[in-house]
Order: sequence, then C-alpha cells, then structure tokens
Amino acid sequence: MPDLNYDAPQSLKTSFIGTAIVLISATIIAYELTLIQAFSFMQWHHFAFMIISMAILGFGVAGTVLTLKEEWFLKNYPWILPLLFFAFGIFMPSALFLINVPPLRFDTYLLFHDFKEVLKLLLTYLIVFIPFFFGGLAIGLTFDKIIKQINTLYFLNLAGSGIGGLIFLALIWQLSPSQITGVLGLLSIAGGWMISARPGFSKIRLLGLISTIIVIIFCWFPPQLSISQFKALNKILLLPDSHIFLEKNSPFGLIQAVKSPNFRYAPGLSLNYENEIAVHHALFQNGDWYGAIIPLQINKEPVLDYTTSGVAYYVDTPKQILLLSSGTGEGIGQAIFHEAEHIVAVESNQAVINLLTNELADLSDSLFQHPAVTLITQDARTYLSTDTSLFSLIVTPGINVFGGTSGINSIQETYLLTKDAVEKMLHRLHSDGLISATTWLDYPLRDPLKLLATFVEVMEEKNLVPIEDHLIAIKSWGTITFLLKNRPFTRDEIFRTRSFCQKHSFDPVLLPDLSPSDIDQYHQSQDTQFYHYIEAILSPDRGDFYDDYDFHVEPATDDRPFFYQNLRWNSFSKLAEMYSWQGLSFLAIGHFLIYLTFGQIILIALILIIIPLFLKQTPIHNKTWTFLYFGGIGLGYLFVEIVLIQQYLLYVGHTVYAATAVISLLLISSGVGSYYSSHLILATVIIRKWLLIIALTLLLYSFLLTPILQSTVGVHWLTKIIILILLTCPLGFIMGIPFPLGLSFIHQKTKGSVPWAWGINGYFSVISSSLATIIAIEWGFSWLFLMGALAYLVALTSSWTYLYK
Amino acid sequence: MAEYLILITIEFIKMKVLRSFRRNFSVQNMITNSLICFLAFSTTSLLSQQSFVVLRQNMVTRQIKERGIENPSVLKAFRAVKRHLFVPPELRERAYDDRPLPIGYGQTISQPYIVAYMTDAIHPQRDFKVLEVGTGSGYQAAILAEIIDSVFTIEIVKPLAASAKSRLEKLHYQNIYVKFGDGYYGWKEHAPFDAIVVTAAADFVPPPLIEQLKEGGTLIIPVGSPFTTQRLMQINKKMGKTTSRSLIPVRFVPFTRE
Repeated sequence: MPDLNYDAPQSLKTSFIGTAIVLISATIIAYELTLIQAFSFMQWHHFAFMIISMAILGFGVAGTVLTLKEEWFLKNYPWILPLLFFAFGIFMPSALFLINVPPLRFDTYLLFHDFKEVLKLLLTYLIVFIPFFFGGLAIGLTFDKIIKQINTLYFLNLAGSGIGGLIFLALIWQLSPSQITGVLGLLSIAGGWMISARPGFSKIRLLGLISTIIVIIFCWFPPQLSISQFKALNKILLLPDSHIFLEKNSPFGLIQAVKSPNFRYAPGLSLNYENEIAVHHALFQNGDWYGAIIPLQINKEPVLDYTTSGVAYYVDTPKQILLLSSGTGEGIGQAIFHEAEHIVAVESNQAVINLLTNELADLSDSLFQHPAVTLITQDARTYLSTDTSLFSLIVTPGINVFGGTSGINSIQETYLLTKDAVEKMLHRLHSDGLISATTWLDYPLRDPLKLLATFVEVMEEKNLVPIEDHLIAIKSWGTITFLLKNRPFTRDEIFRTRSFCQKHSFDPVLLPDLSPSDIDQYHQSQDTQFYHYIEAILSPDRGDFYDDYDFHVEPATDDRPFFYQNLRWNSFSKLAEMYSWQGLSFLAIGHFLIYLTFGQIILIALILIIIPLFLKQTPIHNKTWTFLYFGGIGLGYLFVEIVLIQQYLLYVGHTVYAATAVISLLLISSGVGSYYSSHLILATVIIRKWLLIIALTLLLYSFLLTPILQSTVGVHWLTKIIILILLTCPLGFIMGIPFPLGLSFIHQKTKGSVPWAWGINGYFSVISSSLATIIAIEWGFSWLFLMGALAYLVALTSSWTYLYK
Repeated sequence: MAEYLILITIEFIKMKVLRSFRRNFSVQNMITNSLICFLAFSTTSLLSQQSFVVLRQNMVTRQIKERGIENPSVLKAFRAVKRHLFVPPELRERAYDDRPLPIGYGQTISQPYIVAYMTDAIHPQRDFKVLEVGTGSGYQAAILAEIIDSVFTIEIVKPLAASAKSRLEKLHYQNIYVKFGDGYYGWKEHAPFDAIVVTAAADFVPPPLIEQLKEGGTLIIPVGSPFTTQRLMQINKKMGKTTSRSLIPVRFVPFTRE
C-alpha cells in the first residue's frame, strides 16, 4: 500500500497535479465532443444533449459520492487519484465498445415502439456516464483536497477544457471517433503516470502499466461503430454490389462515398421522362444522405430539368446564379447546361468540398473548378448577410427528404428557411430576379404549407402585393416548387410556366390566372383540402388557419429557426387519435426525443445525485442557500453558453467553429475569472455584487448582442475574431467568478458542504442543456438570455437566506 | 370463438405435460412422459396448422375486409395463400400480424393490408398479365397468381430471387415467372402489362416501367421511406397521358430489418 500519510501538495507549481488537472479536463471535453460525433454517426445529433448531460452528471454524482465518503477519499487521496486517471483512460474506449455490442445497442426509431429500446437507452446512459464519473471524481476530489487553491485549480480546469476543444478539432480531421477515444485514453493514463511518479507507488504504477496495455489494444482494434439500420446509407448498401469506396473523418462528421451499380438519382422526376437515368455515386454524411455525384454533361439535358425545380430555367434565362448549400453540385451542372455566366456555389461543408475538388473531382468532371463557378466555403445564411452581389436566380437547397414524413430534423436549426433569410434573399435579387424553392410534398402536409406561409408573410411585410402576382407554385406527384419575384410575373413568364407544366404533366398550384380546370389536372393530391389550405394562407385571416391546422405551420424565424418542428401540443390528443400514439411519435420523433431525454435525465440525476445527498447522516448547513445558489449558477451558465453558440453560428458561418469558439473562449475566460476570484473578499455582499453584475450584463446582452453581430457580420474575419473575443471574454470572466467564490465561501463558513454544493451545481447543469433546447424550441432563443439572467438573480436572492441565519 | 377454444386446448395440453414432468421425476416414468410429450406436441402442431387457418381468416376479416377491401377475388386469394409459408420459420407465429416482417437481406414481407390494397388497386381481372418489381418472399406474386392469368416478377437480390422461385415452385404456382435482375428495366420481352406493382419505394418512377404499361393500365408504387412510411401512388396511362393519384393508406411503424 502506498504511503497514506502523503498529503496534498502545498503548491501546485511543485507538483504535477496542476498539469494532470489540465490534462484530464482537456480529455473530458475532447471525449465529450468525440462521443457527440460518434452518436451523430451511429444515431442522430439529438444525443448531443444526452452526452453533455451525462458528462455533467458524472461530475454531479462524483460530488455526491464525495459528500458521502469524503473522509475516506481525502484520507486515501494520493493513491486514489492516479487510479481514477487510469479508470477514466480505460473506460473511454470501453464505453464506446460496450454501447455498440448488439444486445445493448438501441435504435432511435424503435424507442417509441418497443419498451426494450428505452431500457437499452437507459443502459447506454449509464455506460456513457461511467467514464465521466471517474473523470469528475478525479477533479472533484482534487478540488476538495486542495480547496485552499480552488481558484487556481478551477482556472486550470477551465483552461484545460478550452484546450480539449482544440485537441478534438485537431484530431478529428485525421482519426475516427473510435480511434480518438484510444488516444484520449492514453492521455488520461499519462496524467495518472505523472502523479504516481513518486516513491512507494510501484503497485499503482503496475496498474498504470496494465491500463496502458488495455488502451493500446483499443487503439490497435478500435471499437466498431454500428450505424442505425434506418439511416439512408444502410438503404443504399442493401443494393447488390454496393460498397463504400472512400471515407473521410472531419469535424462535419464521417463523409462516405458509395458506389452502386444500381443506384440512380432523379428525385421527383416527371412521369413523361423517357430517357435512361444514369447510375451515380453518392455521398453520405454520418450515414445520412448528402447528395449524388453527377458528372457534368454539357450536351445532355439534366434530369433536374424534368423535375418541378426546372421551371426556374424555363421561365427565364438566368445568368447570375446563387446556389445556397450547393451540396454535391447537382445544381451547378444544371446551371452550366443553361449557360449561366456566373454561378456562386455556397457550401459550408469543408470536408465535402475537399473531396469533390480533389479525390472525387474526376467523378463530377471537375464541376467545382468550371470557369463559371465561384465556390464559397461558408454557411449559406452567413453568406447572404455578408456579400452584396446581386443575382438573377437564387436557388434554395431541397427541403426535407424523400417521403417527407420524417420528424428526425424537428429540433435542427435551419436558418436558411426563416423569414429573415427569405427577406435577405429578396434583397440579393436583380430587379427581375427569381428565388426558387423546392420541397417534397409530405403527408400530412406540413413543409409546403410552412414554406408558403414564410414567403407570404415576408412578401406582405415588403408590400409585394397582390401576392399571387409575385409568387408562382407548381407541383408534380412528389414535389412542389415556388418561384418568388420582387416584380410581378409577366404574361410571358406565366405562359412559359404553363407550357412547362404541360410538357412535364405538372399541376399549377399558384398562378395569377389559375382556373378550376388547372387543379389536380395530372396529379391528384392525397389531401383533398390542399388548395383550400393554400387559399387560407394567402388570405389575411391566415392566423385562424394557423390556429385551426393540426400542425404548426407558422413561419420559422431566426429566434425560433426550427423549420421542421411542427407538432402542436394543442392538437396532440386529436393527432394521437388520427395517427395513433406510435404514428405521431414518428411524425415528431426529434421533438419527442428531447423531452424523453430531458425526463430520463431529470430522473437519473435525481436518483444518482440528489437522493444520496439527503441520505447523508451528517447535517449540512445552509442547504437552501447552497441549493438556490449553486442551482442558479448551474442553470444560468449553460443557458448562456447555448444561446451564444446559436448567435455565433450565424456570425461565424460554421456550427463546429461557432461551438468551439464559444466553448473555448467562454471556458478560458471563466478560468481567468475564477483565478481572479481568489483575490476577492469572501463575503455575501461581494457575492451579491458579482451576481448582480452578471444578471445585468446578461440583460444588456439580450438587447445588444444581436444588433452588434448583425451590424458587423460583413467585416474581415480577423476583425470578427476580435469582436468575438471582446463579446465573449468579459462575459466568461464574470461568469467564472461565482462558482469558486461560492465554494470558497461555504468551505470557510460551513465545512463539509463543498461536495453537496458541487452535486447541486452538477444536477442543475445536467438538466440545463436539455432544458435550454426545450426553451429555444417552444419560446425562442432570445428567452435563454433572460432565463439565464433570471437564474443568476435566483442565486443572488438566495444569499439573503444565508444572511439571516 | 373456435380459435380461442383451440388455443385454450393447446395451453391445457402443454400445462398437463409440464405438470406431468414436475410430478414424475423417476426414470421408469420417462417413457410414459416421452409418449405424452410426443402426443401432446403432435396435437399442438396439428392444432397450429388449424390455428393458422383461423389466424388467416381473422387477417382477412379484420385487417382487410373491415378496412374497406371487398373485392371477392382478392379476399378469396388472401384466404387461400398461406402467408406463414412466406416468412422465416422463426417468425411464422407472427405471419398474420398486422405488420410487415423481415425476410432477410434487409427486405421485408409487406403488411397484409398493403398487399391487399395494392392488389385491389390494380382492379385485377382473370386475363391480366402483371409485372411485379421486387419479388421479396413471393407473397404478393402468389396472391396475384390466385386471381390473374400470369405474374412476371423481378428481384434484385439474388438469394431472395432463388428462394422465392423455389418456394413458389414447391407451392405449384405454374403462372408465376421469377427473374433475377434490376427492376428498373422492367421485363421488356413480356411487355406490355395490364398492371405493374412495384413493392420497393423509390424517389422516381423508372421510365421503362411506364413505357411497358399497357394503354389503360395501372401502376402502383409505394413512396416514402421503406422502413417507416408507406404511401401508395397510383399511375394511370390513358390516351398517351400519364396521370397519378396519391392513395391514403399510411403506416408509420418502423420495424427491424434482421
């Protein structure tokens, strides 16, 4: 047994503890991001909340365990700490391995149909929770042991976390999530080696050696990630002789190129099309459909011309074309065929662009390198805000997937389909320019109605009336295309639209001279009320229609950018009766998942964090104060973090970079704030002052942040970085103060309450990430700043409960 | 009522056998027990066959007739074709459930109602020649073969094509012709067809199929994600004009592909 009399180091500078804390903090964040990436591939991105919650839960439970067995842990600290580093290292790849073992593997789509899947999901939570528990325990124990230097430790912890985000970004371009867990495992074990490099620790070092060997085995044979059988990739791989011929890891997910001798791509093709449909290669991102790689054929009319989206090239001969989220470039080929002079293709997925311009360039006949094409690697919505060029045609990407009934995207932000985005598009048109938007006709009808409502409301606000003169729509058996103009459509354009419809057996839906004989001439809709819905949306009383319709079809806005979220809680019982509970859960699966995750996490966290704390025999003083204070700051911090990611996404133009910028800047500056807090006097009046400053700053941000970002979105990227630092760091600095200040305060006043405070903070942080998403979906992102301010105010008012005692 | 009696009888016999085993552990009773066991499970097997008849009858009444399909020839075909012979042995007991079932290679046998709806939608006549794209287990082809003159069916998965062919031969279907190949191209040599039934969902309708459809013919194709939604579309060809109609039945139940 190692020397148990060994005490905590008096100075962090003279020991490796500080370095080890930085290492484990960085590893925890990198592991969190890696798991999010792995779950996005195996299932869908929704489980990001689950991962974040599990990570924080690990910290919360660690606090509870420390509360219950504090004395034992503190006594055995020297040899327990390296073991926790080793355990964290081993469990990182092991957890990923275990959740992919067939009997334990769950599938999202079966969650609402088979109770066993819910149990499997719960089991997955627990497996994912284990490594975070060990990591959290290592940090929590160190905090508790070296509480006198909590501010420095908290700084190292947050700085390490910030570095973790950067480590992940560096690794994910080269390694798969499975391989990364191995590398991170070794990093954690290295931390364990550092702190066990002292006399009398030979047995601990032996355990370290065994751990290293185990993790090296995982590095050699990384866990195989199993993809959901309901993902598009699996569907195409079922075709005989289909195979993945190229794979690339990236922060955007795993990009896979598939070759199949029987795969053809012609979405919503006219029934009059008589030519051969060629076989194509296809690209998938995290197992989801990304696009077909269609070679450039100058002399052959593109298949897209035989879909409703071809109408844009039939009514006009656009010369300057903007393709938003150009994907694999199918729209570029169509534009080149129609002799466009300048095509701007905007695509945010750097990994896909890299592949299509390098390894796969031959397959698309170097489409992206065509002289007429300017390729912009940026988020399409950000591009709309930053550039000022004008176009004769703006094409939005295809909306939703074939079949259109999947509710999996219902919590996905889509800033390209908001009212604010359409308004920006209208500004970027030549006087006679067109916007073309195509969506699948889903059943029950949702997406086409929501898109129409978006256009109609923007047009009314911009006084483009009568709307029928500025908006055309045509439909086929599967898709509907809207054309939008600032000027009224001319007679010639209307005539061309009609002849295009006739040529391809498409039905006009919206035309200035629409007659009853036009209705369902070629395709009889499933919902016979289709045209009535359209009339209702065009009428000034559309509000009544929104209220009466079973689904939520009001336009999406930048504040609530959830285009695919259409479940109305008011119609819930009626819809459940119509489609059955199971059917309804499928229609809004993404929306339900967030509630399911939230419910399960509240329950698990309650069982694992709160209840054990109440079981502790020793009385804990100032329970109410601790509960409100640490609960409030736990909720507030994550609310702010999530709303900042959303705000910066539009500003930076990349989700991954926005998230990394927010997490890294916020954590590092909070670390500095934490360090600064060591210079503050431990008094309730000081705590109150800082909480008030935070609440007021958040209120100020809720009014000023959006205008500041909007007015500077077009500046040079270096200036943007400076603006981001100026906006984030002061906020992070002040938000980093209350936690260590509070911990030091209770340590001084009521000894033994530190782990309890740690656990409460963990519990509220666990539920806040899911809760923040629910608030954003139901009320809008702008509420999150206010709720964050409110949470800090709750923490502020709590201090009076302490005073009077 | 009869089905419940049969099921109760089966359960009663099984219970007796188990009790008998529990009470008589001695070696001398082994032979007697084995005999009881043999007799009991033979009866069970016989009764299972009978219960399939009952289940099939129920399937026709509850899943098909009560949902509005009343074409007597379609109902007769569903009563005649033993669906449990078209599913993997381990899933036989669930063959008459109101749901699709996995048949291997990621493919499924459709929900009975969907098969009935597709069959009814082409208004099958005795002299019809029908093309089926996506043979799968061969169940849809067998149903059609009970009603019409000839069925031409194409399957892209080779082992499925082979097993469906041998199954249909064993069941003595002389008017079904199975081919392994890509359904995209149809079966030009036997075109035109009175009707075409496509069982796999696609985001476009293959032009050769429309071309091989007889004037006045009907093509039925599911649209939507094949593992979750099935929305049927009917295509008609009249005087050179192709029109389409979305049909109502929707099923939002995901199922496992094993």
